[in-house]
Amino acid sequence: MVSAKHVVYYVFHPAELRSMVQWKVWHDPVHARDKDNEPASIAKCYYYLDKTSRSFSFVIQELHPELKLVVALFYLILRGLDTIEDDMTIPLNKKLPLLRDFNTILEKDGWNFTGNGPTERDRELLVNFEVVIEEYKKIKPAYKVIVNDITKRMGDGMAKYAIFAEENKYVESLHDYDEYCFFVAGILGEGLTRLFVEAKLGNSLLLERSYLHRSMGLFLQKTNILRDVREDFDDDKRWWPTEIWSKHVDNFQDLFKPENKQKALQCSSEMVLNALGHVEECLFYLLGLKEQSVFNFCAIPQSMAIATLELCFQNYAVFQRNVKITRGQACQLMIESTQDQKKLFEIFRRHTRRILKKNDPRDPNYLKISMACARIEKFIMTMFPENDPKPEQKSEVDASVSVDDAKAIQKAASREAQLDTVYMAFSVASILVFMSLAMISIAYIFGARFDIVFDQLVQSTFNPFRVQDGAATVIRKYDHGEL
Amino acid sequence: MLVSSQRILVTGGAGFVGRSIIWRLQQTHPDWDIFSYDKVLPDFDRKYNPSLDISKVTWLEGDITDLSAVESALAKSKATVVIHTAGLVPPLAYRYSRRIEPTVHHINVVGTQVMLQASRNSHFVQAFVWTGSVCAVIDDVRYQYPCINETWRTTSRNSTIYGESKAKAEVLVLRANDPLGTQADRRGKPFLTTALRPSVLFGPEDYQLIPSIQACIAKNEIPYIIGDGFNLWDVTDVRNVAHAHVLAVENLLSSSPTAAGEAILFGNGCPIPFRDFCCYIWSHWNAYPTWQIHIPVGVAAVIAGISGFFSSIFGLHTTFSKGSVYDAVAVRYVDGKKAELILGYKPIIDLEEALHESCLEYKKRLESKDVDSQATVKKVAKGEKTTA
Repeated sequence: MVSAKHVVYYVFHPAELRSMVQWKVWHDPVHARDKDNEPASIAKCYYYLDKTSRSFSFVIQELHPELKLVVALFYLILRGLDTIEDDMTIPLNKKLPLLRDFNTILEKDGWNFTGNGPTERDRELLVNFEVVIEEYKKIKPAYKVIVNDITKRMGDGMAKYAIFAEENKYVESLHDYDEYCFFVAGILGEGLTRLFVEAKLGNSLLLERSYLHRSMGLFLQKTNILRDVREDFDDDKRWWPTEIWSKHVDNFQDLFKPENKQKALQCSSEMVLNALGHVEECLFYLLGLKEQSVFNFCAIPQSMAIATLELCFQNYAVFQRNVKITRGQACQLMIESTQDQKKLFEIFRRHTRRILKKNDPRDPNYLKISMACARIEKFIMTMFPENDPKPEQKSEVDASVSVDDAKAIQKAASREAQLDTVYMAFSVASILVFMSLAMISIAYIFGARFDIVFDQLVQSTFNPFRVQDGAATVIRKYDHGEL
Repeated sequence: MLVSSQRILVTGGAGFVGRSIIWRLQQTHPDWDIFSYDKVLPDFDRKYNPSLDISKVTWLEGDITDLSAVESALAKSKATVVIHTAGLVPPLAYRYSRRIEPTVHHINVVGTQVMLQASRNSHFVQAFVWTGSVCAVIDDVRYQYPCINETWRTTSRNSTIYGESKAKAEVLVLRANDPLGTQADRRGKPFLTTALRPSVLFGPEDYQLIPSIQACIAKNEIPYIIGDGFNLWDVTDVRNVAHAHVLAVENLLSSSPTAAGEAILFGNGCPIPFRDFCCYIWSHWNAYPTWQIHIPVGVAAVIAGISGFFSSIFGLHTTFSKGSVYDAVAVRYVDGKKAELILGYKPIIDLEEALHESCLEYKKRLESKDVDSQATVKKVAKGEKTTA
């Protein structure tokens, strides 16, 4: 697990190593799971949660007790759906009904699915899916309605895009791109928000302003699409919208050719720009979360996303392999984003500034990216003003302005003129000093014997006890004879 | 929206902002009569913004600090609205010193005083829109100004001569607001005033901001970044400034003149890091920093001090001075909510488009040698001395 490469990396990045240790040792869950009084069936669900999700599992398990299990089940159900969709060994005619009817499947006691290919990552979850169904049936009806509805819509969306892929269609316009991201991630954002509001752990305004939770999902998804471009390309998938890449290259494959490095980078910048457009709404959404565990749950993926976005920006490695933030950085982000909004916004500001720094004036979207980052910074400043209006609020303007002021001003101007004269004299003097020093040193370099001159001075008119010796004696005194 | 046709007097109508305001008025209210009152006439042979029709404007010549001349211009035009935009923005070389302070004070403060007095005494004028500047707040370099709103105070001390003059004149303008018409000889006829404070201006035909940043290329100054390079600025295209003026006029003439007696800050809707603003301008001349050096603010200020000292020996007015160092690292951008709320202001031209157009226009100007930026600076400086 720990390779030599990692050891070397962390030797040179001790701060990240510290973060990892700090997170492991000091992290205190807001709401810990009550493992001792938990029925075995629930423990089983968490077992699969651990197995299927590396990053989400622990945040889910720290959620408020009211939602902990519901969100865990929600996650497992969607993971099950995803496992069916991802599996290319299942024929389309078998896959589509499964995806579309997954919400009714949830009501079938003892249902499980063994049709996945043997190499499918989360095969085991579907093979034992009856444990999920068993617990799902016990949750509050209000939550069930939400989970069911989202499962249905997500299943329909997946079915739509499965056909889409079969017909060799791709995401064309920016609108298609947003729609695709909404189906695979935005809906999830909606479902979670409905759960938070239903459990009275989130502001109901978050639901009314649907663009807010939509942006939460879209920002995460767009970052993933950007980061995974190489992996998807190797799997013959393509989610970058034609409307963007066609501005830079003629064929999508050309992005991966080394000779198009510049174009590929400019194309990925435009993808970053598109994703940055959601940041303000994400931050606004995060401001609406008051319960700490819910906040953590939402904030961690967002801060990881902005860090990933920054990592991918102007980074050609994105087209060569799957880039990832390091474990140490991830721990650092988790520590910082599980405190409060201000600290979280600080992460966003840090990463947008790094994007600004990497921004290249040759890029056609240079100014747009710059403005997008500036907007984010302005938004953060509006929410958390750094220095409030200066302490003394009253205007410093002398209210008794009159035309006569001109005289006083005239006086000030003449004072400045006087000062100018003083400066002038001083500057002439300093130039003289500078010039003479320069001349003396040039003379010295060319071999002038200042030692002799000095000695002569000492020995001559200034010295009352001078020795009447000619210059020749002096020279003899200082110079060696011919060798 | 407004039933009656209006007669608008724009002071400084031949200038950069004035021309733009006339252009916008012609666009939005083709039936209004427009008068310009300015010391100079526009250059009728020059090609300005093609959609500006200078022949439809009545051009009056005169000095804004001459009360009787202003009064006769107001009587002649029977203006119902005065947009007072004439003013002096010191050229960059004079921005940080107090050398031309008397001139600046005379034109910006006394001129405004005279305009207000004459307008109030006229029986026709109902609304007075004045072009202030964000400099009334931000030119005190001791502070940073992130996302400022109108609760931030203006300052007439420790600022620049320009910022101070704008702060003083603004007090005069806002104090003259008289919704009941009780002051002077108004006999119940309201006299409404608004002070608009746009952020730093640029735009096509701009002779100050873009030219002086473009000039850094020739001086090999582009690799140097003073400070961290993240400080945000606001710049406003002159057409958006004109748009805000027209909105302010409409507001004051409407049945609920919410802008009366108010100072309103606005920008181009989005701040931008000063460094990126410069890089974008330079990119139009294919100038890209191939290497970059960050210079700490303190070091830059010392270098600027020394260089300023030596140039004063040779009697030069440099653009690189301590003041310009502080300008370059300053955080100065507006929140802009009040303008949106009261005036319904939204920029009509986006920052990128505006900058791109302005750079192309300046490039064309340079190629045709229409205007030598250095000559303009000299001319302006000289012109001021004669008025003083």
